[in-house]
This record gives sequence, structure tokens and C-alpha cells, in this order.
Amino acid sequence: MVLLKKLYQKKYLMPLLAAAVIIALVAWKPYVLVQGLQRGGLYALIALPMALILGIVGIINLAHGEFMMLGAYFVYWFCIHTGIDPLVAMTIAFVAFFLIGAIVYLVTIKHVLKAPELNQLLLTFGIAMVLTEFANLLWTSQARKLHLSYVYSSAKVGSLTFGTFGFIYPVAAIVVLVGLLVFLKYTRTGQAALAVGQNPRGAKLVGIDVNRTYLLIFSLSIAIVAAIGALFLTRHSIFPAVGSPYTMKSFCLIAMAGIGNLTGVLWVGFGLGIAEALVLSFQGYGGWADVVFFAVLVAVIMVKSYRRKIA
Amino acid sequence: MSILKTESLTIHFGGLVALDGVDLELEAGEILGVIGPNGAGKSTFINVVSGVYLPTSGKVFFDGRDITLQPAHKRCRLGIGRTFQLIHPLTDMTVLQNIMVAALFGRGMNQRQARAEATSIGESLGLFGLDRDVSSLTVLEVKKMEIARALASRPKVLFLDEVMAGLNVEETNQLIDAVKEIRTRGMAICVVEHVMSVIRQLTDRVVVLDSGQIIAEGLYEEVSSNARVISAYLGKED
Amino acid sequence: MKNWRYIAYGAIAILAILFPFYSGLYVRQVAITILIYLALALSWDMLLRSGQLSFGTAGFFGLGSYAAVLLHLSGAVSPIVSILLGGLFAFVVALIFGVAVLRLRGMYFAITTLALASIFMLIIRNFPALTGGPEGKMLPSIIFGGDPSKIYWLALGIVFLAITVSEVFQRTRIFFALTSIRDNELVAKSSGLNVFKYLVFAFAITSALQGIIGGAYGHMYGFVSPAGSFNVNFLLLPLAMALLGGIHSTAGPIVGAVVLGVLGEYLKLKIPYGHHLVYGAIIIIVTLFMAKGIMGVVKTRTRSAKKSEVRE
Repeated sequence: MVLLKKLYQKKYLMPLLAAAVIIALVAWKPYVLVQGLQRGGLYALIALPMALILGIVGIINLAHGEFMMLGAYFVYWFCIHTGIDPLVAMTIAFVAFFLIGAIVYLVTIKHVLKAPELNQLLLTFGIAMVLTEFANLLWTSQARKLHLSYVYSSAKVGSLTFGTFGFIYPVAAIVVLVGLLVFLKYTRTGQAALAVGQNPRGAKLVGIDVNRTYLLIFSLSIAIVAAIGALFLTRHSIFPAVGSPYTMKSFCLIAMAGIGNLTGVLWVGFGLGIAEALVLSFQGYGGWADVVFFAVLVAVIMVKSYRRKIA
Repeated sequence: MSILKTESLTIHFGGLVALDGVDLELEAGEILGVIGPNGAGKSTFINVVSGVYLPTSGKVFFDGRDITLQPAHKRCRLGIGRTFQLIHPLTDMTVLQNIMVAALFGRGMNQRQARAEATSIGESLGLFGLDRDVSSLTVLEVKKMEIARALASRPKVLFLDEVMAGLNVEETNQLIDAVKEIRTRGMAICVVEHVMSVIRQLTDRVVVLDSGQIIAEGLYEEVSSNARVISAYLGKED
Repeated sequence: MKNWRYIAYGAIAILAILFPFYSGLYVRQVAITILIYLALALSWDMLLRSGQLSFGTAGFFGLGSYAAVLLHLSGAVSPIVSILLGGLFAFVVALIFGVAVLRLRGMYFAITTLALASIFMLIIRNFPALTGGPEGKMLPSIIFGGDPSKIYWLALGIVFLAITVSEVFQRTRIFFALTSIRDNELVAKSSGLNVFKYLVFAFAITSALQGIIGGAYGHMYGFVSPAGSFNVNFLLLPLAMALLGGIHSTAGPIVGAVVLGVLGEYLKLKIPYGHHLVYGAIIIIVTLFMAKGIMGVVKTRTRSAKKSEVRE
């Protein structure tokens, strides 16, 4: 009896539902589970740095996908010229884009933090456009791809054959999530950042350098997403507009998980990845895969807006 | 029949109980004072009655009607007017236009009528130079504009949320006279204040809030010497 | 004092109407493009006056384009009627969308509108029988048989329509509604204003306008396609123009459109690829430094000039 009562509690509902879905998929369409986890991992991975900025600095970086794109291009040219593997070059991209992120923050973002939200949105939108056109100008819209042998590795489980390299995305997502959580909860700088995110004025009163925190977090976010670009490059072809859909999808994940809920981003990412893979698995409905995200976005907005009807 | 009545009005914000079972009645033509220490729930009370927040439980009756679930703009049209404690002038409009907003939408006037109404209300409060930018106003003028805007929707009940804050004696007296004049127009006024001399001079009756509950009610003299009220303020007397 | 202003407007209007008679083909083509973007810029600004930022201009533009072209192709209606119906279609879609989303403002609303173009494109791509899929649809003939003067007058007519609606938004009670919502929603609704109703109304009307502009564009060029009709340019340029010229006014987007339109032509000759970088840069610069745009600077200058006049 107690067990049944426990089942009705919300805390157990979601994991139980998830377990049921996973079991169903393994029985019916296991490939969907594999693809869903891989794609979902990528979505969650890209969304995490955006969630970081949104939660702590409080702004939406509409240029998020573009920074990933630039990171991918950076690593692409680096690898072409030096022959170094992109997974290694990732670290260089991280450092380089940390600096770039810092510059962008100091020159632009810093000045609109106190301005109305609209100005912040317009600013990052402008940055997104500039970065896309910059890439267009330098590298044209021709798609580029690296050909790496190891991305084609595969494994066989029972009657199912699937690519294994794609699991690098969910793994990376977990690594980044754990890394961020450890940073935020167990380091002084991270704890300060959390405080700033929850109450900037209070944090300032306690002596935390709010500005420096914003600078750090923003630069960190850009660095991470650029490094993700390197990972992205290994399996995808890149072109200037490649990043922009991911900005939107990242926002979907964050809206659903709730601002400030980094772990939630991971779960929602997997969930949406699996849902998308499920849609893709039906012949002829492939074109509708993106609908999953948009439908979720609109649904989340509607639920939130009707809950908020109070004020 | 009272023009405004709340029954067990309660509102929770997460874990915080801001109002706890408030039963209050306001009669037409009376000036009610609402006092209490900081955080007692005075502004929250105005916000719930005017429709900014929906209560967790309890009811609000206006003119006999249950308006508990009505949205704020409808309550304004029914006849609830209020000022805002943190002054919020509408900065992209002139003083006159600020006042006109309430006449246009709270009373459904057209622009010509609204302009005339806003001008007359503004001038009756001693507010002149109505075509000025809001940024050029003094503190007293901003407060007068707030009151004018609240009046422009021809309310039956007017809530004044700490309008006297930040004024010197001379300015406070000006506003006290203005409020007394407003009362002669027949509306019920609820004055939320920290400045006790204002409460003493203006109000017919006083209600004391503390931690979301009414702890005393009566004439100013009775209430101000009430031991429980004094201890709630922890010695903070005017 | 006021009279010379109206005479000036009248003169400009007449010059604009007579434009095809004294301009060459290339200049007229540029003018048509500028007029299209000008109308879009105005429609975007009109919603901005309520404090809501919409990234959906390209979305409703494309929607109107498709609606107009497809309706005309079905044989049922003439081009002009189809353009108006394109606007009506955009109106209805915006109404539904607005009711669903506008109880949330700011960031959530803005980002959702950013997704609109992608959502519409997705739906269009997935019904190829109806919409021609990724290749789009071509019209057998361009409106007015391709007569460039008539096409110019169509564009000019749409700009006059946009200006009219914009002025209505500025001079009627709508001005009070939108401005007070923008300044402080709480005060607005406590003064009796039904904020939600006005926001949905403003969103639907401005989206309808964008649909009409898109419909006209579709007929002017004779074809629609997902990539072409929903191109991000129809979002980037109007925003840059309105911001540069000065938001929250009718004159601002007009000034911005003319300035950027001419500048854009020049840039296109010098830098064939990526000259759109300038538009993005303008958005950044205006947001950072010149929030009121060109018209804002002009107004501040004339105001201080007037003040010093009065003193003397």
C-alpha cells in the first residue's frame, strides 16, 4: 500500500515514466533509444553553457549557436593546417574563446546589463548576425567537413548495430554538467557565482565582485560552447548558419527545465532527443522532427503563461 | 452596506504568509487609516484588493459584488483607484498624458473629454504646467500626479499607498488638505501610512496590521496607546 | 509652425508618387526594395511601442507571401485581393499565437517569435503538394505584367498604408495604451487598461501588415520559397533601420530605411558578400550608444535649441 502511495508522489512519477519509456523503446525500437540519447546528449551539451549565463548573468545569449559555429570553424582550420586532432585542438579553442568571450563581454554585454531586457535581446541578436555574416564573408556558405576515421566506429548488441562515437555527446554532457555543478557548489568562485545569480545586490553587499563574476561566467560559457564546436565538428559538416537552430533548441531545453536547473537540462535534453528520434523513425515523417522542439516550446510557454495569469 | 469588504483575506507567497485572514470593512465617505510596522502587509493588502495579486483564500466584496477573481483593470473600472508606493511615472508621456490614461481606460472617455478631465483634476490638486515632461517634476508634484491619475478613473474607493513618504512638513500639509478635499467628493479613502501625524489628522478610523493580521482597530487615540500595537512597532512611534 | 511641416510632407509625398517619371530603372528598383523594408521597419516598430520585441517579421512576411501567391494560383482571386487575404491570414495566425503566448512577455515572447519563421518554413516544407515544398512556387506572371512603375506604386501604396496605421497608433488612444504598457504595465492595468487585449491587438495588426507586405513582395517577384520568403534579411534589415532611424516614431523607421537602403546599395557594390555584417553592427552600435537613433538625436538637439531660445 505504501508503495502505491509513493508512486503517486510527483518525485517518483517522472523517473518511473522515464523507465517505462526506455523499456518500451528497448523492446520496440531500440535504435531510437540509441539515436535519442546521442542527439539528446548533443542538445543538452550545447544548452548547458547557455543555461549557465541565463541563470547567473540573467541574459539570453542569442548568439550562443554562433559562438559554437565559430569554435567549430576555428578548430577546423587549425586541424587542416596543423593536422592535430580536433579533440586535442578543443583545449586550444577553449582558451582562445575564453579570451574572445571576455572581450565581447567587456566591449558590449557589460553595458546593457542594467538596460531593459529588450536592449539585451537586440544586442545579442546583433552579435549573432554579425558573427554569422563574418563567417559568411570569410569562409562562404560552403559546407566543410573533417573526415576522421574513428567517428565511424560501431558496435553490435544483439541484432542491433549502431555507431558508438555518437555517445561522446551524452558523455560530454554529463562531464560538463558534473564539472559545472562541482564548480558552482564546491569552489569559492563558483559559490560566489551562484550567490550573484540568486541575488546580485545581496552578493555585492557581502563583498562579491559582481562584475568580475559576470565576466568570468560569460567567458566560461563562450569557451565551453566553442570547445563543444570542436566536438560538433567531428560528426557534422559546418557552415555559417549551422549554429542558429541550436540557440533555439537550447532555449527550449532551459525553458522546460526551468532557469537555474542545470541537471534538468540534461534530462529534458535526453527526453526531447528521444522524442525527436522517435518521430524520425517513422518513414515519411522525418521532416517533422523539428516540430518536437517547437511544439514543446509553445506548450511550455502556454503552460507558464496561464500559470502566471495572477499578476 | 460597506462599499468595500474583505473576508478572511489570505495570501501566501511561497512559504511566506503576507496576509492572514484579514477581515476589513470600508464605508463610503470614510477615511480609514492602515498602519503597521514594515513588512506587516499593508502594501500587499492594497495589491490584493486592487487585483495585482489573487488571494490564496478569502474574498473581496466591492459594492456588494464578489470581485475576488476580477482582473485589475476591471476593478479599476468598477471603481477602485490606487497610487503606487514606489513612484512609477509613465516616463514617455507628459504629466497630462499620465493622468489621461486613467480617464481614457478607467472611465472610458474619449481623448477630448479625458484631456479636460485630467486638466481639471490636476489643477484641483495644485498641479500646473501639465504639458511638462515627467522628469522635470519635484517629489511633491509627482505624488500629486499619482493621486490625480488615481482620481481620473473616478474611483469610489481610493487607496493611497504611503503618499506622504519623503515630503517635508509644508508639503505633507498640502497633501493632507488635498485628501480632505477629495473626501468631500464622496469617496471612501484608505490611507496606508508610516507618518503618524498624517493618520491622526486625516483618518476617522484606524486599523493596525502586523505580520498579515489585524491586531487592533479603532480611533487613532485608542489604537496608538494600545500596548500590543506599541510592542509591534517595538517602540517606533511618531 | 506646424503648417510648414504638413506642406513638407505633402511635397515629399508628391515627389514620391511622381518618382517613376523622373528616375531610371535601377534607381526605381532600389526604391522598391527600400519601400518594402521601410514598411516592415514601421510595422516592427509599432509593436515595439508596446514594449514587446518581436523577431517574427520575416515569419509573417513569408506567411503572407505564401498565402497571397497560393490563393492567386488557386485561381480564385486577383493579385490585389490575394495580397489583402495574405494579410488577413497573417492576422488570424498572429491572433491565435498572440492569445497563446502573450500572457508571457519579454524574453519568452521574443524568443518564441524568433522561432516563428522556422516553424512556418517547417510546415510549408512538409506539405509539398500544396506549397511546392523546398523549391517553392512560381507565378506564371508577375503582378501588373511586370510594369515597373505600377509595381513601384504598389510598394508606395503599402508604405502609405503602413504610415497611416503607424500614425493611428500614435494619435489615437492606442498611443496611450501602448506607451503606458511599455512604461509600466502595473500602472497601466491599475488605471483600467486591458493590457492583454491591447497587446494581442497590436501584435495581430502589425503581423497583418507584415503579411500584406509579404503578399505584395510575392507578387512583385513572382515566386515564393521557404528559404527566400522567410529570409532572415526580412528581420535583420527592418530592425537595423528602425533602430538607426529612431524607434517609437513614424519618422524614425522612414529615415532609417532611406539611410540604410542607400548605404546598403553602395555596400553591395563594394562588398558583394557579407555586407549584411554592417546591419548587425548597426544594431549593436545603436543598442549600446544611440538608443534613440537618428531622430532621437535630432529631437534632443532641437529641444536644447528651443530651450536656449526661450532663455534668450
